[in-house]
Amino acid sequence: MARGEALLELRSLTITASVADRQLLLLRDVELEVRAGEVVGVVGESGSGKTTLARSVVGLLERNVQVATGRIELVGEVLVGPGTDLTHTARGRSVGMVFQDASRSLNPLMRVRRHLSEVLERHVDGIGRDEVRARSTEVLRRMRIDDPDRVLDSYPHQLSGGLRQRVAIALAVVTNPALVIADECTTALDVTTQAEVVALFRELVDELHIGLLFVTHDLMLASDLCDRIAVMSQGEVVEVGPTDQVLRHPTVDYTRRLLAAVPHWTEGASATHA
Amino acid sequence: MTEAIETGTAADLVRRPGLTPQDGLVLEIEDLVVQHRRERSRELFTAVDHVSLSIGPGESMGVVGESGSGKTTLAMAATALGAPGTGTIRLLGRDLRSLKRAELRALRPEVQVVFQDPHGSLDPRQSVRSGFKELRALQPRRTDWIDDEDLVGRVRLAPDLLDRYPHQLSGGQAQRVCIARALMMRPRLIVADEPTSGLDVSVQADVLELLREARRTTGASMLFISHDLAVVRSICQRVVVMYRGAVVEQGDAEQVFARPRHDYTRRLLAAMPGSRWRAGR
Repeated sequence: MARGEALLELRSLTITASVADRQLLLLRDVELEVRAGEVVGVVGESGSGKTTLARSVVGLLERNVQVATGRIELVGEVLVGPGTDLTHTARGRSVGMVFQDASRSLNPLMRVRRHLSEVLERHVDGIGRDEVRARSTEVLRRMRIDDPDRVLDSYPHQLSGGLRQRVAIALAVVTNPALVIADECTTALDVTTQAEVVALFRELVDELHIGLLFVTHDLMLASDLCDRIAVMSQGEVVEVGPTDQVLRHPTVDYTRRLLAAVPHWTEGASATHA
Repeated sequence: MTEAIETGTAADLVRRPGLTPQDGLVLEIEDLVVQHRRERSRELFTAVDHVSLSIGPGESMGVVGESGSGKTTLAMAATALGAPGTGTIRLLGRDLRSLKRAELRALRPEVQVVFQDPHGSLDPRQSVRSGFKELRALQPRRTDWIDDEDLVGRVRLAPDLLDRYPHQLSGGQAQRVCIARALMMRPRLIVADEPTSGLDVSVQADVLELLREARRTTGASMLFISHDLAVVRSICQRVVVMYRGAVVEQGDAEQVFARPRHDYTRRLLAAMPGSRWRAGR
């Protein structure tokens, strides 16, 4: 995939949910694209629609949720248009997904090796046993795991939270998808582990030219990693632009309020106390 | 007493003349060691490893560290629910280990705890008002200084929220109710264990302001546990950095964050998200 090419396009995407006799608006008229080699942050508070957005791309929404208008295109292919039921399965080959809680996306009864081989065998036609082994080791090394053999032979509970999340990321990228979606995938991690995972994502994007849609409630975290940031509120993308522009020159009040709510921090120098 | 003690800033309280540091300390922990058994392997590990610290009246002390660093075990040692492990824990000058059960119980309202999950700390079958009523029945004299309406006003909630049940409250509202319940007891020490970790950032800012104000108006001291350095810096005068059960660094919050001496503190600071934003601020 060439750098800069549009991988994911959301065009005037409106998604509703039927609850009792009412239609709830989950996403309103969302326009967003993710290009190859680019990290796009989707930032918002709880209930802003960011998870709905992420899940609509991988067809992981509830049955009562439907696309009212608009479409989702992935590498030029229309995944979702009006009337489609959002249960498409773009996951695996074209899109990898990383969730908040790695321990819940891993099967506790399966060693890491089997997780990787199942994904590879399902998505890579005619892959042989040797290649499965080679690619499993290689992807863990890419995750900066020094002893891939030990990790491959481990069950999820035998790994630290940080290692489990690396394994979850390995599962998302092992099939060389064009796009990876990460939904609050560092929220449960300690800050030092979180910083490592963020650095790892940056490397993967720069080296493999994948596109990364990084969903988070943490504007500061997004600002460290993302090339562009989309700010969501009440189902709408209220602001989208290059990271520095959104941080330095926010155009909407909501973004300004989010930035103002970040606790003040002066590097080195002393801050005053209330 | 009919009104909260209005005392000016916490710093003024600390500097209040006639209060010698020795008899004025709200919490003193000396050489505390607490061991737990791991759930799976049953092996013993040291959650708090020879920790000493003290908190003066009106002072706010932050405890930072990552998961498993021992910060919650340390905080729970300050709650007068018992005296875990070995070492000295003195609350308002009373050695918890030497107290009889009844004395310990009498001391307990002096410490109020605000937890991370506000919904988990509220009884789902009780409205806010009936929860207040239950607390008042337990401590009638301690709580008669303020009525329910005034109390919820202090945490910026509308009086009609008194008749709601916890599931009808947002996370931020539920946390305000928990803070109100703590304030009602006029505690000398508020222990806040990650009180804003589950909240949206805009709600977090409000709750922090509320805690700051609660400390200002009641003169209570605070032990504030958090993994978030920026939050601790915004609310605490002093800070303790914990790593694997031990205090690796402690001191004035500004000093520690501006000129960290321990490697681990430096690593924590380097891992803080938002460096790009701060650099250009």
